[in-house]
Amino acid sequence: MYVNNGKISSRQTLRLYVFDLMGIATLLLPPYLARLCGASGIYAIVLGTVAGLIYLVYLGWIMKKMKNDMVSFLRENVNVWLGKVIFLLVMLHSIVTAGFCAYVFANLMQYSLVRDSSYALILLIIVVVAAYAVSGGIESRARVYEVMFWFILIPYIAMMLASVRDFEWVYVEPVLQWELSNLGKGTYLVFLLLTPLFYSLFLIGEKEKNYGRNIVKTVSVSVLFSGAILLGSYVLLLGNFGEKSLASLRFPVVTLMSTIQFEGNFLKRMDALMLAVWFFTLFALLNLHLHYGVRMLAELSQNQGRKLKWWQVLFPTIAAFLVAYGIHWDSRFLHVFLAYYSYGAVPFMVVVPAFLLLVRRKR
Amino acid sequence: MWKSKKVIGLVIAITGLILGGCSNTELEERCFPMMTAVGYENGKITYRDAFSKEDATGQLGAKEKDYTHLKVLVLEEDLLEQKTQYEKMLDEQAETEQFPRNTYVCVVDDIEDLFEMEKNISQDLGTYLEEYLKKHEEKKDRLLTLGDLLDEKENQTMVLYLPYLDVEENFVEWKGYVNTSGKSWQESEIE
Repeated sequence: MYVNNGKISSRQTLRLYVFDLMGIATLLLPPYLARLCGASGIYAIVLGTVAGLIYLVYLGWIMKKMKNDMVSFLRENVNVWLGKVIFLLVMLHSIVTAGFCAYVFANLMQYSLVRDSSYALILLIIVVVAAYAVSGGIESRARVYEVMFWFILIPYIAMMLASVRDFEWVYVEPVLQWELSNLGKGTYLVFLLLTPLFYSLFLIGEKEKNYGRNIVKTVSVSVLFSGAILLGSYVLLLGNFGEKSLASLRFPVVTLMSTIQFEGNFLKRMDALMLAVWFFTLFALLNLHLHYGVRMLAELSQNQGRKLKWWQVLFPTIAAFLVAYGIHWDSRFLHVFLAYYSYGAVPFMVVVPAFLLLVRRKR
Repeated sequence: MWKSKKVIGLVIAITGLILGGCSNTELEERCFPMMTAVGYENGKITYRDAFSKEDATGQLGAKEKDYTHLKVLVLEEDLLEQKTQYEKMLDEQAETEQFPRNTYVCVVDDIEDLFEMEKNISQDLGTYLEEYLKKHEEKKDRLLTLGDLLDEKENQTMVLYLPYLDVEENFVEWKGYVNTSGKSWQESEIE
């Protein structure tokens, strides 16, 4: 029997984080980066990854001071009501972000596989499956993704390498032309997609003198690995489509998969199969956010580590569904979400951990 | 919890069956053109393929066309000479994504010659042209696809040369290249 204690191994953490970070980044970032920075988006990816690593070092320092995971720290070291407010805010953030992930996932599925099917139905299936996965606990998901890791990544890397055949250097040449403000925006955009790093505060680490050291070390490798994959993917997308064409495409990396041809007339029509890369990675990210939405609700209702109740999974799932459907129904909600993420979520994730340390010291 | 998990599993399995797969139209109700010719006639962009012709019962386009297996897009020279119309056609394709981006593209003077030739070959025109183009690819430049044309329309950084084919005595012949502004060169002049 497997143990269900909320703890996962370093290898599982590493693999889960790679999926959480690389999937949505390779899918959504390239067209936005191409619009903002063009070929110099390469620097934005490098700088964004460095910013992610700096953030992680900061989180490591917080963990060391907290000497515990975030949930236990909030339970034991902070005023009860302040703890509840933090749980509530993290829950809302997680549910809204889970909704956005479900929206992207359903969009990708409808766009690339079932164009004539109802969006609401696709979305419903996705969130129900996610709820099912979340109810199984983080350990079971971590085990699945640990096994799937190389099955997903090897075909992806092989396909990207195969795209070198159609690479045009002329498209990458403007790499030396860049504008500082756009580069800054591009870097921030890359960093936005690294915000799941915040959840590393919630991972349960070994009780050692330097609490969280192993978590930070493991997650850093995930950040570097995902950054390298994103960088390689961006260069190849740029060289295959060119800056302006890349900016005009909806899911360029999926389009690239559909155009790659292998020598010798084999492995034809791999695009549908390759969609599994984003189905798995987006599903991992959706699960990550939904998991914390559910877990924070459980904390708010003083579950204290006991088994999840059905409604603790159901309500965040319904809320995520409504957020996703709302974004699909009216694109203004997407702008609201992006504004919230840019101006609300990131400052929250940076400021709140340090604020909590200050509050603890005053007690 | 286990009972609710079983219910969720059942809901997923049943709702999944409602999704329409690749398309909501039955396979029997669809046809799969392997080659499509795009031309310009009487002020309009025209699309023609093997299924555009009347069938035995005199019906036109009775089945829904599914272009996911399209192999070759043949541009008629008249269309390339009308730059605005050519770009309009590309815009339409970028918008609708009707044809796959990895469809090979070539140019002919008169598509009727190709349709005539199809009667004397054992395979469909799309497969025949694809094999012909690939067979000659090694000797010449990389074959261009619809995706290349769409990219270049946005990027405007390169001049693209498309294979220019002609039919002579029931055989296709690679005559040279045409750039996307409709001007043609012989192979030797490019090299």
